[in-house]
Amino acid sequence: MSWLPFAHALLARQDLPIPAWLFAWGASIVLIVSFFALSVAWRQPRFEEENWRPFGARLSAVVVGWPAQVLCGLVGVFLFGVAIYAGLHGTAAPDRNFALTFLFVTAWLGFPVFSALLGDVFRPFNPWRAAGRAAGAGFRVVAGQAPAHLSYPEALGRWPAAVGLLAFVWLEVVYGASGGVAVGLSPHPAAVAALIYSGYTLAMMALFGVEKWCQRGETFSVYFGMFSQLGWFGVREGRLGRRRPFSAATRWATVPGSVAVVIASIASTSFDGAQDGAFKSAIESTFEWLAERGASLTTSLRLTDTIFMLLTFAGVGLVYLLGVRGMRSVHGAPALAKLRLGFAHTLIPIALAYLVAHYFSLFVFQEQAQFTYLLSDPLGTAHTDLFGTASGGIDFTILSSNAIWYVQVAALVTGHVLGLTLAHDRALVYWRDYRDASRSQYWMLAVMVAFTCFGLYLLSVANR
Amino acid sequence: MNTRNAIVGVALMAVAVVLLIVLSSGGSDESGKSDAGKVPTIVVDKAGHPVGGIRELVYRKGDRIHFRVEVPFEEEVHLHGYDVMKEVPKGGGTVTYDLPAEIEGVFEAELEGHKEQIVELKVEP
Repeated sequence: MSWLPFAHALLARQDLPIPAWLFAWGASIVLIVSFFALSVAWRQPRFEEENWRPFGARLSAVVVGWPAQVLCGLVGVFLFGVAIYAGLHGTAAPDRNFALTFLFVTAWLGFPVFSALLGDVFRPFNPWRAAGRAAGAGFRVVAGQAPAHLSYPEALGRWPAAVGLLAFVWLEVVYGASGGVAVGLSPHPAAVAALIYSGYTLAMMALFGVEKWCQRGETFSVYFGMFSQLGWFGVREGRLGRRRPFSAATRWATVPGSVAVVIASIASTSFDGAQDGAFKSAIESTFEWLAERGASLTTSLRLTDTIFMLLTFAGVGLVYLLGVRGMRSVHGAPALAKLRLGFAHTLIPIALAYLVAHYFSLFVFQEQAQFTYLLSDPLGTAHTDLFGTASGGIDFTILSSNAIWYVQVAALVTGHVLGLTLAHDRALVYWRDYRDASRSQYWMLAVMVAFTCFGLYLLSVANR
Repeated sequence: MNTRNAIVGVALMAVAVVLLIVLSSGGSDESGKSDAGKVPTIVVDKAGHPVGGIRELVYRKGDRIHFRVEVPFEEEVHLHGYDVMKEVPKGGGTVTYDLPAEIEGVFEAELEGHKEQIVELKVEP
């Protein structure tokens, strides 16, 4: 069926596939870097100590004090409210409605990058956290005591966030791809989904407490917070401070479900990239097979995409688990469960690299829309011009294909190097003999090479 | 296992995988194909689908994009990215696109009313 529809969502310009020569160069650089890394690897762990240094109390009070928390919370609630209102009452055209760009580009793609650079910047702007804290404060005033909460089942760990992450991506790239249209998810269902998620999140916060749910179950807090572990900045006991980069990540994955979160992150981006490229013909075949057996086009497409999305999740997880099992065979290895959790953080740079490689151009292009016509005319009615920028547009010539390709390859190679580095550092903690540690890393090297070459491959066949 | 042998083994395996993928993909990025100088016509059926499926058109930056769309009903054809809209009058008709390929990337032309993609336009550097 040649007119099988796929979600092209918001953007009018999509990336060309990276050329074969650049793919080959990127993969070769990865191999050379890996070879070099193993040859000159250091013999003492360097990221286990955070070397935490708090900033001055005055700076902390300004940046993370309660006035800033209240202000950021209000901004977060307001913008989220505008997005929901625009989704419910604005135009059905995805590219002209504030809701989709704000939720799926500005927030979804912006927070991971800014979190990695500046720390957990989503936390103060989190609209559900702000609403939950305000409700808690109101309860204290009325009842004269803090609200009581259930004890969070620690075995559940971050699993709710992992499931939420897959559900969010499913909404965007599976549900949004259905309906025989050339555009993706419509603003209205996105707003309805946001309202449903808000009700669920606030209920969970009431049950388990605002901060506990943000640490474990709230999808976006966990997801963006994961990337914030890579950077220099953090907040501890109300004080802003800096630490050795990547050091916080070494402790992030000790909670159950963390492996699933980072694997879901890589799998989501992989599937989104493969949908129109590497998996296209397989998806079309499965779609046709289902449609010929009487399923409606929409059901066939959603079912097919769901199957492939779950297969991608399983595939990414399997590659990681094979690497972990391989490490277990090296003399002196700790238990499998410890290895599985202990190396999950090494995939965070890969997840960020995938995100940057796949969505860099989308972010650059669509943010021009965000800060021009979507800001001035959030409902897309063509009758509003709040800031005088409603007639603005996207300059698609701002990025050449060459520039996009180089950013994509650079992101993947950098993510690969950082992942290798973190894995080697962790191996030095688990194996006392550095030679055993290095030997264990042949397996993780294979995992990292597989992910990086797979990422490059996806880019080389995307939109071909 | 000898360390050097293991590293060389991993490197060779990975090189083999890369070569396999590059060779299996034809070792090129289809850079030879071009629709410059042609004037293809995309025919839309009464149900609003492009006959023969979504037409892929490939140009080099600086070429002239030139194609026609024949639609049997009143519609608007939208070439995204270049943001050019063409109106098909009541009763149907043919619209012509003739413009320079200035923006690189992959773009779609669609029937606005039917939300149906009819062309995938590629402009290579």
